[in-house]
Amino acid sequence: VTGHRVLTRPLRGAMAAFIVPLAAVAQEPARTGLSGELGGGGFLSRVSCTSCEDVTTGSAAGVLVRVGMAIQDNVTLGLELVGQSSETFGLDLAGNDLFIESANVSAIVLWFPWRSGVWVKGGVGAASGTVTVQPKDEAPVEAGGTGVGLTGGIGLDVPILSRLSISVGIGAWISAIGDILLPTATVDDVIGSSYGLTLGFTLR
Amino acid sequence: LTRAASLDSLARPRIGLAIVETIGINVFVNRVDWWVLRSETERVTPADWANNLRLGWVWDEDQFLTNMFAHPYHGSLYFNAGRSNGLNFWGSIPLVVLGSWTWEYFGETNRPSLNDFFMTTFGGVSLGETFHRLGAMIRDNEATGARRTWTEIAALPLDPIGGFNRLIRGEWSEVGPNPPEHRPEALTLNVGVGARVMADSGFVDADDTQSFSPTFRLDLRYGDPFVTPYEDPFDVFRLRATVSPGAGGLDEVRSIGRLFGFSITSDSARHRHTVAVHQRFDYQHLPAHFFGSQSFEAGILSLWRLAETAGIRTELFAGATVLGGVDAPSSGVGERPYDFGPGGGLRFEVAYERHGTPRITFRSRSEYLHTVSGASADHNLSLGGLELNIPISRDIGVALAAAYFRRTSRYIDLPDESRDFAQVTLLVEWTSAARSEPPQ
Repeated sequence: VTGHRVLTRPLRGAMAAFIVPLAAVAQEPARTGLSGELGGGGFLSRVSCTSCEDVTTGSAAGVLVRVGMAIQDNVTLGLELVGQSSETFGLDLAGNDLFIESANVSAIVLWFPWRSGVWVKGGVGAASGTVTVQPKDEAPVEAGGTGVGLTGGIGLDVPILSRLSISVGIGAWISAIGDILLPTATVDDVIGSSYGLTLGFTLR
Repeated sequence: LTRAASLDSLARPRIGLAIVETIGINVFVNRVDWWVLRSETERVTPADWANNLRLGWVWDEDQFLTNMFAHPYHGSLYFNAGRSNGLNFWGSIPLVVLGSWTWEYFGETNRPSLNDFFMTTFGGVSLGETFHRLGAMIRDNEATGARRTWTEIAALPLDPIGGFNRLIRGEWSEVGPNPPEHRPEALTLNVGVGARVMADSGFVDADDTQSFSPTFRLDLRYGDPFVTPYEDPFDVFRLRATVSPGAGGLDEVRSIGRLFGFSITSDSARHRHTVAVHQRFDYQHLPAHFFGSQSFEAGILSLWRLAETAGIRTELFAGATVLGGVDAPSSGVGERPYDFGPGGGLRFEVAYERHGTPRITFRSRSEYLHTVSGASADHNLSLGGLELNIPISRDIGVALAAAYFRRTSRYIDLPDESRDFAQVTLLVEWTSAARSEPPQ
């Protein structure tokens, strides 16, 4: 019996030290009040247009800023800004280097269906994009457009302090920015699609 | 409560069944289109799916009716797969996204259409909740026999998925209390028949423009922002639908539903003001112009009481258009004669009313659309009008409406262009207004 007590006391201590706080975190009131997230990520981007027979794809890096306000225990309304920049997006038809920058500002809904921190996101807003064509031995040519954007995704919010959490997510950002008027050609009805993995810190 | 009456407040929403039905709608439509209608577009193969996933979104070139009304109606089916399985308004929205996305990527051989995704999703929510509530109004859980069956059948065109679920659950004959949506606190229905005369500065083919057409109009005011405290989205909405045989058929559908609202004055105040956020669905397919949009607006509604039974209502709203479509001489792409784009707008309305019903109404609305598919252009639209409602007897009246439309298009590579269009409508209307209680 004594030996059993010797074994169970440390076990109880471990439970008190680790499991109870974890349980407390899990039982915390759901996300309330204002929140802000700052993060970044990597994106796979794809650009298509009405007259394009194929799509152009490339990778990009980006930043993510979210501010939100919880309207229910499990629903947060907010704004999201995602900016992406691709220094090596690919080549245009003439073999020139393409650089692309884009930004989406969206009104979003974050829904936490369970207390585990899993969230689902949807949103709509404005989008802008700039394409820079770098001909060999010539000055770069830049053109852009603005339009409408959509976003959706899923993620996980993991509390690390009482008011701070790490948020990891995967998402899609669609940017319909209209015609891109380059000096040599017009690219019609451009739609950019980005799929990314983001990591951020959320303060509540 | 019986199962029929508690349909909207099931203790456990049938989420799995709602998802299965959402996908089932796509499978059903796809197979009917291919097996029955022999539409090659729906003869999809895994190779088409792979191609769609690899290439992604485009803008399509479909007809205005297909894009701006049929797709939102299709979206309403997904939405009501959720509503009729016990999900609330917000919980049904992901189903519309799921249904729309899977249809675009896997339902057709065409590449996924971004304008379809917008219209099906946003329009599907707007029309879906409107049709869900209209279906609940038409159905009567307390009725029996042939009348009961006919009310169930009558609701089918608006809410076929809800009707299907009621049928398989045996709720077409089960007697019980009606849900609250069956009779909202305030309800006014106007049904009119008459004629429309139009004149325009137009560019359209003369064969397409008829200066005269018989017209049927339905106006529904469900709830009243000064009677119905905010509880749920679309607990207050307005719906107008106009059909003009021989001049476009279904030529106008407009739905404005309250997403959120709160009063900023007490219920007993002489002059009352309430703030609201609305979701709008607009569809106008007139011989002189096409215009449609999915938008949200926020603003203030006021009731200025002049006497015991008379007052003035005003509405002032600013909005954001998620995606709209408008035609212009140089607009569109390929076979599609209209542009798509996001934008914004302002709306003002003032109405003199007696006994809670409008007698004189002035409307003015300005919209801006920035094209993202079609011509390189910005479109400015002004829509307005004056309407007189003259009662003849308790239930019958005359409505005389003059409407005005102006579009100015600024092209990057073409001269600016504008168009004016006016129409006058004269209707004999049946109204339920006398049976409704005015705001106290």
